Amino acid sequence: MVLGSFARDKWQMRFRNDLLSFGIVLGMHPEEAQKSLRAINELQKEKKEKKNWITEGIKIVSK
Amino acid sequence: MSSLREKKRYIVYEVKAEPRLNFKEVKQELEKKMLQFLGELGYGKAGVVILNEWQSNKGMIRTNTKSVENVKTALALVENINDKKVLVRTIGISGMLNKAKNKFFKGG
Repeated sequence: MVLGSFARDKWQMRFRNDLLSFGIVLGMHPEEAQKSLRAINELQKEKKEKKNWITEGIKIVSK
Repeated sequence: MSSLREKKRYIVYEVKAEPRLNFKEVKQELEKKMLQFLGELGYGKAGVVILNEWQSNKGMIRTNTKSVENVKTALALVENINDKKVLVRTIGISGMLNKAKNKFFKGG
């Protein structure tokens, strides 16, 4: 699960601690909520890597 | 008996808005939003009190220990105060009023 503010302007952004509290209120364990906040960074990393991905086990390292 | 006394926490919050806001407007809107989110029963159980401390768009809320996360979430859900876009965030939490003032009001 990914937790984030998904803001479209600066007024919709939310601070990390507030999102953590939101996750806890939803019923997540504090560690789960922390992981969910970090998940978006991992997703972005994965997306970046996928650009050079060809198939399982093969990716372009440099052109 | 001290063991039966309600354990409290002081949440220091900050309201970010383009024009400076009046404390009365902020207090009204926060009470309304917390009531909406927590419900009548939840609001009563949380024992929420919005203190009259207000300095450079920062204020304090007293609540009981078990409802801290709920109150923080309710604060994060505030979008507008009197049709002005705002951003409410929690700066910190403390168990003692003076410590909360010294650490978050004066320091932050």
